[in-house]
Amino acid sequence: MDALKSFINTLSYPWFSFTLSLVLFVAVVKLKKLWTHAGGWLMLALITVFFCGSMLDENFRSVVAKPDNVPIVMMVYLTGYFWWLAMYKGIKNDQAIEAGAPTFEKSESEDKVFTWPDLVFSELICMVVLTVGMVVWSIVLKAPLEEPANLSVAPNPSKAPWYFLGLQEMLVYFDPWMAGVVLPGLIIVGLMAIPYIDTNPKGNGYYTFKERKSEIFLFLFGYIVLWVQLIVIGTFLRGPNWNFFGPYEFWDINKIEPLVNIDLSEIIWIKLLGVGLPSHWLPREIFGIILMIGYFVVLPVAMSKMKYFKRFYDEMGGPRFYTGATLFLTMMLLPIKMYARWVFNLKYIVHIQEFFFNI
Amino acid sequence: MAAPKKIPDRHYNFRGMNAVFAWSSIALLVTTLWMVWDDYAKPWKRLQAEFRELEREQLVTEAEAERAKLNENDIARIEEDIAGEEAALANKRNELDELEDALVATGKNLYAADARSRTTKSLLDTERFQFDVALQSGDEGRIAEVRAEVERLAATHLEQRKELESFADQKKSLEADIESKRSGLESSEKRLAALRSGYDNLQHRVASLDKKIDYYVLNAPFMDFVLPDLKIEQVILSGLYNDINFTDVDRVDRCMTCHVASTRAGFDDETWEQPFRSHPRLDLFLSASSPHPYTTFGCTTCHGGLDRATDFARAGHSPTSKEQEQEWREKWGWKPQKYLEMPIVPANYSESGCIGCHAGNVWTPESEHQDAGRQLINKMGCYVCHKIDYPAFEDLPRPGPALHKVASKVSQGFAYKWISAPREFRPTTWMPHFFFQPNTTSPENLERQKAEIRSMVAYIWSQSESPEYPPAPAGDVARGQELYETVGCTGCHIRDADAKRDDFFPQINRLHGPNLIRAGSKLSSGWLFAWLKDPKQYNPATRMPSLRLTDREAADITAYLLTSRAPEFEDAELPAVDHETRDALVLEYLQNNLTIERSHAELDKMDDGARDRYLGEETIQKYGCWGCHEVAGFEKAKPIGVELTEEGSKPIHQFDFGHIHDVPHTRHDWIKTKMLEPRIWDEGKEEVKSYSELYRMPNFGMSEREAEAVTANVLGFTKDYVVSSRRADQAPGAAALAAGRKLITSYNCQGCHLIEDEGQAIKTALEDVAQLPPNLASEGARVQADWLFGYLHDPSSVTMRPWLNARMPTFGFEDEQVNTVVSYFTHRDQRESFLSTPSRPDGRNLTVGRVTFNMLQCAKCHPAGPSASTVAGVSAAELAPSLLLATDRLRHDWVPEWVTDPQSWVRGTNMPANFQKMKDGTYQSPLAQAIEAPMFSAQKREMMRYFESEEELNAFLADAGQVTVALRDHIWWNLN
Repeated sequence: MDALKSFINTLSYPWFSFTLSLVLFVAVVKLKKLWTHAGGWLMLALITVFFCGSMLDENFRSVVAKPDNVPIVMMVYLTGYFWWLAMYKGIKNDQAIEAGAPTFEKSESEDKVFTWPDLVFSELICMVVLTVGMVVWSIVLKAPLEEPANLSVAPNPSKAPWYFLGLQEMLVYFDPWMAGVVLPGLIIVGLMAIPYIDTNPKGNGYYTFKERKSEIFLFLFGYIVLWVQLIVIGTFLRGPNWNFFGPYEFWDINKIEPLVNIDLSEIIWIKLLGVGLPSHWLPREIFGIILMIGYFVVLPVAMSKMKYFKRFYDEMGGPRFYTGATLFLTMMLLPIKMYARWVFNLKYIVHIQEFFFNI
Repeated sequence: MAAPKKIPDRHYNFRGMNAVFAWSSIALLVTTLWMVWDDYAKPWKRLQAEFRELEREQLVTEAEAERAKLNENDIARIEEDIAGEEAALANKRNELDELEDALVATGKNLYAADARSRTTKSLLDTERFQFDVALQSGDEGRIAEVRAEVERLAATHLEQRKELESFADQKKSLEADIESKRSGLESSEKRLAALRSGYDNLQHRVASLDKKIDYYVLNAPFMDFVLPDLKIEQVILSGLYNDINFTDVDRVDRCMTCHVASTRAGFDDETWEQPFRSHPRLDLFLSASSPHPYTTFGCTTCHGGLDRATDFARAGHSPTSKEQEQEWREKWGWKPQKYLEMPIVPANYSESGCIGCHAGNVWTPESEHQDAGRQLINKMGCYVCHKIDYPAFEDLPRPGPALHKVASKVSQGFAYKWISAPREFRPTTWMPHFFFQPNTTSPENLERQKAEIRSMVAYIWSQSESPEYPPAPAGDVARGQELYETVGCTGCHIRDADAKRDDFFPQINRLHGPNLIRAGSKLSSGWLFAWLKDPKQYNPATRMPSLRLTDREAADITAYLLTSRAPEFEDAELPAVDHETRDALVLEYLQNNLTIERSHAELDKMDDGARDRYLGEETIQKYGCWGCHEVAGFEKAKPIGVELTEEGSKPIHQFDFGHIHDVPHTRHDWIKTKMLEPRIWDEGKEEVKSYSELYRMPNFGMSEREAEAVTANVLGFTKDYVVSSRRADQAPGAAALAAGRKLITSYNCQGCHLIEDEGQAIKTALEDVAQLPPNLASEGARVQADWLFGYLHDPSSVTMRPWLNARMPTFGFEDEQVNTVVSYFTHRDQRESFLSTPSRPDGRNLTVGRVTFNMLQCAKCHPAGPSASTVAGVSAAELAPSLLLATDRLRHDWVPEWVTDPQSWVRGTNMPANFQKMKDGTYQSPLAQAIEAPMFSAQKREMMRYFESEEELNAFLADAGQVTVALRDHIWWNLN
C-alpha cells in the first residue's frame, strides 16, 4: 500500500501529472465508450473509490476533509458530471444525425419549450433540495473561521479563495503582473469574445461533438486542464511555502525545494555563448523579445498558411482568425512556460526588471 | 437508430415529481426544525437548567434545616396569642364593622372631592390665561367679564379644598381608630413573621426556582427572546482590550453563562463541581467588595480564553494534564483550538494573568507562584540574554561574579572543570550547564566543546588582572563556625553538600549567594580573607556586603569555610585539546567575515595562544557569558537571546517543536519543556544542523516547580494592553515602590528582614527566635527618612538592638540607592519624607507621661542606655530598642499610634497592647481605673496638680489618645 501511495505521490508531481493529464485528456475525449451510461458510472466509481480509499490516509484526509475544501470535492464531481452529460448527449446526437433521425432536443419538443410545470416545478424542487443541503451543511460543518488576521503573521500556505486557486497556481510560472492581471483579463475578454470569433451556427440549440470537435476540444482543454486541474492542484497539492506535496505526503512546513531557475537571457548569453550578460536590457533580452514577437506576430501568420488552421482562416476571415489565434496562443503560453520551467528551469523568457516587464 | 417518437406533452412523469417534491418538502421541514433545535439546544442552557435544579435542591435542604431550627413552642405561643386577639376582636365586631363602613364611605367622598377640586383648578388656570389675554387686548368689557369668572372659580376652589381636607382628616382618624383596635393582633403577627423570616425567605427563593408553566413558555424555542430564565450572562469590560491586531476591542466576558456561581459564595464544598463552583478566592477576585470585582475585571483579563465563547471547547479551556484532557474530551467534547491565539491559561499558571496590570509594581501581592518565578528569573539571569521589557528586569546588576580579577581567585584547571559542569561542583548553583548537552554528543562535537571551554579560559585569563593575596592569619575553625552561623552569613548563604535548590522553593533568599561547600578546593585563604574583610576591593560592583568583620573574625570564618573540600577539583590541569578541531572552529568564525583564502592566511598569522584567545572571545560572544559576568572586552555587547517581552502572545506556530511529538503543542508546554530540557528541540538533528546552528540555551537544572514558576511569568509577558486606570502599577507612588522592591530583591534584604510579609529566610538557620532580624512592616511610618538615610549608609553608626548577633551589613550603597530604599518605605507606608520640628509640650503632658511611663513599666524592656544589651530579669527575646534613640530615629507622630495598638503596625511584635480596642474603633485606657489603686496614690497626687478635678484627670487617663501622646512627650522631652 505504501508503495502504491508513494507511486501516486511521484506520479502527481506537476511534471508527470500534467503530462499524464494531457495524454489522458486527449484519450478520454477520443474514447467514445466512456461517454455512455456505463462509462459514466465507471468514472464515477473510479473517482469515488479513489477519494474514499484515499481518505484512509491521514495526510490525504487532513487536506481533503478540511471544511474549506468541501466545495472543491463537489466541483470535481459536478465538472465530471456536466462534462459527461455534454459528451454523452453530443455523441448520441451525432449518431442520430448520422442516421438522419432528430436530435434529443428535437425529439423532446418542437417549436415549444415546456415551462409550467416542467421547468418551474423542477426548479422549485431543486431549490428545496439545495436549501436542505445548505442547512444540513451549515449545521454539520461549522464555518472554518480562523484567528483574527494579523499583519505580522501570514498563514502558511496562504491560499486564495478556492475559485482563484488556478490563478494562484499560474503565479508559480509567471510574473504576478502576467498571472494576476494580463492573463485573467484576457480570460474574461476571451470568453466574452467567443461568440464573435466563433460564428459557426452548428450546434446551436443541441448537443453535438462531431460538428464542433476542434472548438469543444479547445474549450475543454482550457477549462478542464488549465483551470479545473490547476484549482485541484492548488487546493490539494500545494502545501506550506506553496511547495508541491503528493496527495499522501505530510505537509512538512520545513520542506525545502531548490531554487535554481534562470532566465532565457542567462541560458543564451552565459550557457550557450559563454559571454557575460549585456548591461543594457535591450541587447540582454533581445532573444526573448524576438521569440515573443515571433510567437505572437509571425506564428499566427504562419498558422494561416498551415493546412490544419487554413480552413479556420478561410471560414473566419483575417480579423477573427488573428484575434482567435492571439487568444489561443496566449492560452498555450501557460503549458509552454510550464514545460520550459520543468525542462530548462526557465524563469522568464523576457526579464526586464528595469521596468517590471517579465514574461 | 432512434425511430421518430410521438412528441410528449410533458418531460417528466409528474406522479414521480410530486413524490420527489413531497419528500424533499418533508426533508426541508425536518431540517428546518433541526436548524431551530440546533440553534436552541446550546450546552450552556442545559448547564444553567441543571444548576437551577441543584440550587433549588440545596435551598430546599437549607429551608428544611431552617425549619428544624424553629422553636415550635415559641410559634405555638404566638399563634395562641393571635387566636386570643382575634377572639377579642370578634367581640367588638359590630363596632369595627361600623368603623370600616365609615372608612369606605369617607374614602369615596374623598375621591369625589379630590376630582371636583382638580377640575375647578384646571378651569381656573384656563380662565387665568384668558384673563391675561383680555388684559393685553385692553377690551374693558371683556376684562371685567373674565375677572368675575376668575374670582368665582377661585372662591369655588377654596371651598372645595376645605371640603377635601376635612374628608382627609376624617379618614385619618378612622384609620387610627381601626389601627388601635387591631394593634394587638398585628404585633403578634409581626412577631410570628420575624420568627419565621429565615425559613420564609428560603421558601420564597425555592418558589422562585420552581418550574411553573411560565418557565416552560418563556424558555421554549422561539419564545425565549422575550424574558428567558436561561440566558447568556455577559459583562462588557471597557478598557480591557482584546488585541485583534488591527484594533483593540473591549472584552465581553460570557464565562458566567456556564460558571453561574463563580461570583457567589457558598458553592465551594465538594458537592459542587465545575462549572458550578464559587471562585476559590472571592476575597481577592470577582466579589463586589474585592479588589477585582467581576463587573470591572471580568474573567478573561486574567485567565485568557475567548471572551465571547459560550461553548466549552471554543472558550479555549486548557487541561493541566493528559488525564484531565481525556476526561474533558469525553465529558465536554474538548478539542484543541488551533485558531485561538490566547487560550485559557491552565489552572497551574493562572497567576501569569497578574502581570498585565501588576508588572510595574515588581511584586504582585498574593501571587506566590509568579513571584517565585520572577525571583528565579532574577537569579538565573534570564533577562541578560532575553530582553524582558518589564520594570522588574530592567537595569538589574549582572547576576554572576565579575571575571576581571578571576586569575587571582581560582586556577585555570578549576575554571575548566567548573564551566564544563558547574553543578558537579556545587549542586545548588544558578550557573547553568552550557556544554555536553544532549544535542552535542557526537565525538566531533565533544572535541569542539573541549576546545571552546579551554579557549574561553585562555581568553579570560589573558584579560584578567591577578593581584596577590598574602595568606590569611591562622583562624579558629570552631569560632569561625559560630560566627558563620550567627553573624548573618546565613541570610544569603547555605553550606550544605546535600542541599537541592528545589528544597528552598519558593523562598530562595538563602540561595542568594553561593552554597559555601567545597570552598577549600576552590579558594586560597588569602583571597577569601581579603574578600570577607572587604568584598569591594575585589569587585567594586559586588552585592556582597561587608559585615565589618575584625581581622580575627575574618580569619576564623576563612578557616571554617576552607574546611569543606572536594579533592577531585584541586590541582586540576587544563586538558590537552585537539588543535585541528580548535583551528577548524577558528576558521569557521574567521570565514564569517573573510574569504576562505584570507581566513586561512589570518589563521596562519596567529600563534597558538592567539588562536586560543580568538576562539575564546568568539565563544564568549556565542554563549553570552558576559551577560552574567563582567568580562573585559564585552562591556557593550547586545543580548543574544530571543526577546521575551511578548513571548506570551507569540503565535503557537512560531514555536519550534522539532521532531518532538509527545509534548502537547501549547505555549505553556513548550516553554516549560524548554526550561527543563533547553536543547530538546534539537533531538535527532545533531547531524543535520551545523555545530553553530544547534540550540545553545544552557541547562539550569530546574525542577518541575521551578520550571512552572518561570513559565507562569513568561506566559504573562503578553502584548495585551490595559488602560492605565485599570492598572495597579499606575497608582501614585508605584514607581517608587517598584524601584525599592527591585533593589530589595537585588540585595536580598528579605534574607534577613520580613518585608511586606515575605522574607526572614534566615529563620531556618537561626535557632533562637530572639536573634531574628527585625520585621520591617511599617518601617516608613516608624522611622525618620533622614535617619534611615544615614543608617543605610553606615549601619555601624547606631546599635539599636545590641542583643542581636546578626549584624546589619554595610552594603556600600550609593546615595541614589539609599534614596530608593528610603522612598520605598515612605511611599509604601504613605508618609512624608520631610518632617516639621515638634514643639515642646506643656508640663502636664510631661508629668503625666513620666508617671504613666513608670506605671506601664516601659523601662522593663526598653533599656535605658543605648548600648545596654541586657536588662536584669528580661530575656533577650523580650528586649526592645533603647528609647534614647527615639528622637533621632522615630517619627514624632508615629509613637502615640504605635503605643496605642502595636499589633496593627507589626503583627507578632513583642510590644504589649496596653490599650484595648473597643467595638467602635476607639481604645480603652486601663489607667483611669489603675490610678484609683492605693499603690498609685502618690502618682495621682502628683498629676492632680495639673487637673482641676478628679473627673478631669480620669477623663484624661481614660483617653488612650491623650495618654499615648503624653507618653511620647515624656520619651521625647524627658528622656532625651
